[in-house]
Amino acid sequence: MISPLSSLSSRESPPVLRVEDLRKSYGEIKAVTGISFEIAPGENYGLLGPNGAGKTTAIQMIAGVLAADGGRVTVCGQELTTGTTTVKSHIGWVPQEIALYDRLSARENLAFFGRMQGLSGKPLATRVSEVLELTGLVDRAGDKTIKFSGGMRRRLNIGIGLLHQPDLLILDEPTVGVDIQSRTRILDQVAEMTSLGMAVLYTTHYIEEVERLCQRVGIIDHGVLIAEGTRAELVKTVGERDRVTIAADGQINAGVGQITALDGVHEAGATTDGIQMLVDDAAHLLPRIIESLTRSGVTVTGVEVEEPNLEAVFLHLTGRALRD
Amino acid sequence: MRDIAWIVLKDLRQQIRDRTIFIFGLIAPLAIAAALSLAFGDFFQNDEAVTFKFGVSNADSGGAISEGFGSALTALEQEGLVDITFYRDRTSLDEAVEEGEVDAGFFLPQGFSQAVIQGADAQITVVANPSSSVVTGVAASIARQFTLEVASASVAGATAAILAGLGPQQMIELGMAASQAPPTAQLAAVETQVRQLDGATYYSAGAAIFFTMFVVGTGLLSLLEERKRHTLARLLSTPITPGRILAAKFILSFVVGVGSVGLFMVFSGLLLGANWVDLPVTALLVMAAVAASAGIVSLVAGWARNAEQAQNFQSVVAVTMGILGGTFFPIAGGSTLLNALSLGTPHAWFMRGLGDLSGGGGLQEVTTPLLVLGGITVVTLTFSVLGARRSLRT
Repeated sequence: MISPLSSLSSRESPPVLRVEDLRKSYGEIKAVTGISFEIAPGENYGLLGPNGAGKTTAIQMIAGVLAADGGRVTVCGQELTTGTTTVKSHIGWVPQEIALYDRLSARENLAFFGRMQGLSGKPLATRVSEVLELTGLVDRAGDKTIKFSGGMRRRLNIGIGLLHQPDLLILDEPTVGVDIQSRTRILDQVAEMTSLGMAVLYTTHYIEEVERLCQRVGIIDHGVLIAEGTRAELVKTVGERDRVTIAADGQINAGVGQITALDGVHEAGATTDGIQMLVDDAAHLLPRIIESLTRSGVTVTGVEVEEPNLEAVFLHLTGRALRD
Repeated sequence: MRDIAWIVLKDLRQQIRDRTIFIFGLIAPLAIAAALSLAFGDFFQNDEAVTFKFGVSNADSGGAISEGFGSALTALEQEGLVDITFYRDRTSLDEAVEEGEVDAGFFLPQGFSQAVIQGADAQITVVANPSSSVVTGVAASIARQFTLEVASASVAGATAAILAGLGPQQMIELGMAASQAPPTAQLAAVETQVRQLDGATYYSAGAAIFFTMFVVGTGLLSLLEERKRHTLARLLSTPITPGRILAAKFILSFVVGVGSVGLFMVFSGLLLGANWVDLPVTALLVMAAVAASAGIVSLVAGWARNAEQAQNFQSVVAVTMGILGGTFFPIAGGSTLLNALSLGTPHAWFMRGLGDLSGGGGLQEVTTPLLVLGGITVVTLTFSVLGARRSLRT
């Protein structure tokens, strides 16, 4: 869940990543059109958008593997281009596709990419062991990765990005095609990285992942960053309300009449087994709602609060569902 | 440089585990060399001098130049290189060739000498069994060399001589003088490879350079494979520059190529009896040939759209160059065009260099092959770097 205080605190520091007016076209197709945002140290920034929205193109440019047509990417104060090298050591990029050498073991893959990042000797050996531990692959460290399950390969794919302890970790749809257990483990890993002060740029089309991990979210569609902010800010921007469903018996209609009179309660109505309504702030109003219903002769047997989510925000902004 | 070395070591480790390198680098060339050596090796036995049996039918009896041709062949016979039998007419000659009495025959038509002198169309017909390609090549070479020599450059050159004001008598003298030139030197110049490499060595060398193109390809094509498997993009996200990745792939190809040819030479010496002489200079030739092959394959890989296309291109180029370069059979004695095309292949220069070494030459004698191979490397690598920009796009 969003932590506005920690977000505010981390954003007081100079940004780890600053993206300004980033653009990329493929012929007539504009893949990314002038996106700009910043990520502070220790902040987890989610780039949310449907497939084909331009997320991967954007982060490939940010990772320095794809040349931008225009704009600027600055990492830890250094401008990044595809030709620059030293600034890349600040970045750990985890591509959406599994990028491993099948005929090398997990340990060999880690050691090789660690060397490419400039690690060597004991620090390299230590980091390889730590990442194997972190990814839960210690027991399979010597096995060729071609023998790994999809989840194990995905975890190792992420581990390589973490190996050199970058200031900025870029994760491109890291949980696509993995089982629930591996997914949970991956999300835990990412949360741990953020807690250790690493800035994370996380792209996905899974809303629940963004809501679980990210302090701030940028919503991208057709290559344009159409909204940005904390989850609460985004929800507030589009005026969404909490949906409250109350399972109840007794004087239902009387209860509906009572709660409709309360400030902040909207569109209250009876359902087959209770009452449903939209509420400006359920956490604040719920005690008064239940009290009113009880006074009206309604017996409340259950309460379900559905907060407005980013899916609703996306729907509101684009007129279509995120996974259309 | 350490990052380049780590990429090379990583790829080497993968290739050794893949085992493809052993198939293309050792097993396949040994098998091909053994098969070719068994099938055609008799042509190349240096310790037993090659003696071709040729028949001659001269319908231009008394003609100055045709008699000169007969004299030239007689001189070759005295050198022990050929056995000459004269036949009274074309029919007898054809029968002799058909029955295997002689390996091939030469027929000089009536009026041959006069035609040469007048600059008209004059032909020496080579009669041969189509299945005896090597013998046919040697016979054709002798005929061609004679016609080249007899009028200083070609039969057409006689016309030029007449235009220069030479009279018929001077032309006859010119023809006679030309026909007296030492023919052994001409034969040797054309058939250097045949004369100097024994069968096992010739086919071992041919198989080595032929399969080198495939072996070096496994290194360079791995760039496209890395792009396909997304590891190239991941490499490009690290502090290493694209140029260093390219350099690593070329070095890998070179190391793998030299290693596999070296290993193959050891095994071909032990198992097939290939005779590698002057090992330091031979090693230089191997390195130059591998570098040139790697350059050609990198050119192909650099311009291919994907790994599959590159492999197809590589196979076509390797087989075409292998044939043109004379790795399966000598092409000397073929057409001028074929000879010219042959000189565009690293195979031909590698074989020529080894032939020169086998004939007693040293570093000085293989300078030209080394320089040409170096030139091929530089040119192909320059163009391949331009093409490789495509490969380095993720």
